[in-house]
Amino acid sequence: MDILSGLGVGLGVALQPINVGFCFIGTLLGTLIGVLPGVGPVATIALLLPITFGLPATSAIIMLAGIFYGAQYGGSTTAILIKLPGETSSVVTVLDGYAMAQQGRAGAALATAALGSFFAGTVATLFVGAAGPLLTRVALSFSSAEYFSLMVLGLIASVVLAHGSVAKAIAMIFLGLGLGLVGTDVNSGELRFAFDIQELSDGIGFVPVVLGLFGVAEVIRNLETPDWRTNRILPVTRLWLTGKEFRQAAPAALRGTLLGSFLGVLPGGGASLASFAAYGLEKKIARDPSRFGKGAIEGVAAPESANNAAAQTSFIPLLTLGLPTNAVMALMVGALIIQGIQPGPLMMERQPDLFWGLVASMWIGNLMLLVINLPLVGIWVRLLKVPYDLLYPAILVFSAIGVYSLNNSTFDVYVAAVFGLVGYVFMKLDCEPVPLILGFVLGPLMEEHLRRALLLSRGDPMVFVNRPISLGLIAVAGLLLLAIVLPAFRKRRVVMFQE
Amino acid sequence: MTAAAAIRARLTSRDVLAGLGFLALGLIGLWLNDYKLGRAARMGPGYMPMLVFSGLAAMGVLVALKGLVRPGEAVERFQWGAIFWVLISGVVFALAIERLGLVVATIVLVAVASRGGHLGQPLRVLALAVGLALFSVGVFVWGLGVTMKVWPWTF
Repeated sequence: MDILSGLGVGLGVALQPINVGFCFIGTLLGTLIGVLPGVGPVATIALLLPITFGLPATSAIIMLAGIFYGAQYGGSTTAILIKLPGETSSVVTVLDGYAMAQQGRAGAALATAALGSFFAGTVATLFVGAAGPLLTRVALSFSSAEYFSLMVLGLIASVVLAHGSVAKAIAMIFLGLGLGLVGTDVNSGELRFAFDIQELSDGIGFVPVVLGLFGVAEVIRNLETPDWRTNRILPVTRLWLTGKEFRQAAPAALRGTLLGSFLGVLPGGGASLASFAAYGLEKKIARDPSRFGKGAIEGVAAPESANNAAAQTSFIPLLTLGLPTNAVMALMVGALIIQGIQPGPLMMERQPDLFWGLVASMWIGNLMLLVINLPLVGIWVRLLKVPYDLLYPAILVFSAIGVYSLNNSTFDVYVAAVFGLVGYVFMKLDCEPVPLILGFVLGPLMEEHLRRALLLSRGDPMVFVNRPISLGLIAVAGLLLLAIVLPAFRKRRVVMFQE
Repeated sequence: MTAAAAIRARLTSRDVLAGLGFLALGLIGLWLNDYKLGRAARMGPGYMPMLVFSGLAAMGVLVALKGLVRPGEAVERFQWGAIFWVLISGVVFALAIERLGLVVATIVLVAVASRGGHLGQPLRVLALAVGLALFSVGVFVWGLGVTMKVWPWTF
């Protein structure tokens, strides 16, 4: 299916009243919870994941995607108004967005973020629609050896391009792979690491693990710092741009969009790498770089466009190769699998409605965000004043009910509590939980492909380097690992994430 | 700082502790892995665990060594109070949900969890608990049609 007829089908699916409705609920809930202090997008999606299980697959995924970009959008609102980025991808927005708000230009900053995101979303939608079918065709020629190498590359790239210690992140991947081993081995039917606990025969549940690591652990951490929300909320003024501001912001938004669309496809990079890179680029090409950090509108337009574009194009590896490249995409894999769909190249053929419906709904969702957010910003601002002491019991209640309601299993509630503690220990030891989730999700697939590839090659591990595509993928993974050892690259990586 | 204190600080840095943790988990995994290994061409159920936990243990050694060579930050203090109340709130919810139903389970969860924060007067806690309980019943049971025990006297 080419992109035009694909988008036609997609619009037909996405415009069905039920899907429009769930897209709307998703973006609204996403913004609402994303704005709430101390709840990032991963926790938001994890929290709302259980309520989508009763829906048809397409509606569920459309709603989850809406929650995702809604939460991201909410994050930039808080970045601009109270200097509290909802997540890493809006960290740089704080620099100039908050400065603009202090100068009484909060309205202009919010409008720039909204319009830039909408523009980026539109371009990225077309990008996903165009790149999807191409990559799918490549992926269909893959055999198990290529898949295994691809997953190795994806995991390696996701830790090298993200921030933090690479050695620890790789250890976390192994830990995730280890957790994924628990349960029945599909090949022999033997129970592994289940300790005669009946609930573990299907493996450790995905939702309790994620809600524990990202929801419960965050609650404990936030309770540690009692007085963390001290910033005054700045007043919102005229929600529009002057002609001059628009002329400054538009080219920056365009550059941010292009950069973001490209970087979003890379594993690990995603939205945060894109926003950092876009901000760096604007500063580099600006005639007067000293304006940045003091309310330069380009410093809002570029990263906000870039992170939205990247957030959307990060769906590409998931939808075409079945490869989740960040924690949110790992959650999408979890959601798809619970819906009985294995993400990968066959999805476009077997569920064209789902693929194209999702792509088209991204554009509709972005339009909704623009329409619901600019006029409603006053309500979101009021939400920022909700004290955390009222909020965290609510987060815990919804986590507990969501986890329990999946299988009506109290065991899952205990799992979530245990992983809450584990996640808190990870934070204390400076270990990012995202690689663990990626390993956990990909583990069973990797084992299957490794087994099949080595079965076909009669146990010869050279199969991974004898096949050209597989060799290429492994080589890139090796180069990435090599690069991290080189001091020059390491320094650049540190600089990039510190700015 | 005395030499002994410096050594102790280095041994309890985040990297060293994380590395030792990974190493321990890897070794435990290998020790528990008494499933048939098989060969590369015909993997038994123990083959993948062997690879994974060996990798985990090896990375643990690497992380710990890195931490010893380059001193990193020390581990911050744990806030045991918050941890305790949050985790216990999950446990009481799990204990209550099948015996006493959603409404009671939600109320006890909020009551226990509120000990970890600064919500203050019992009346505010009660108001929040009852509000959340009614909201949950409305959204999950009536709205989303999730089947679970709601009241202590229903099945």
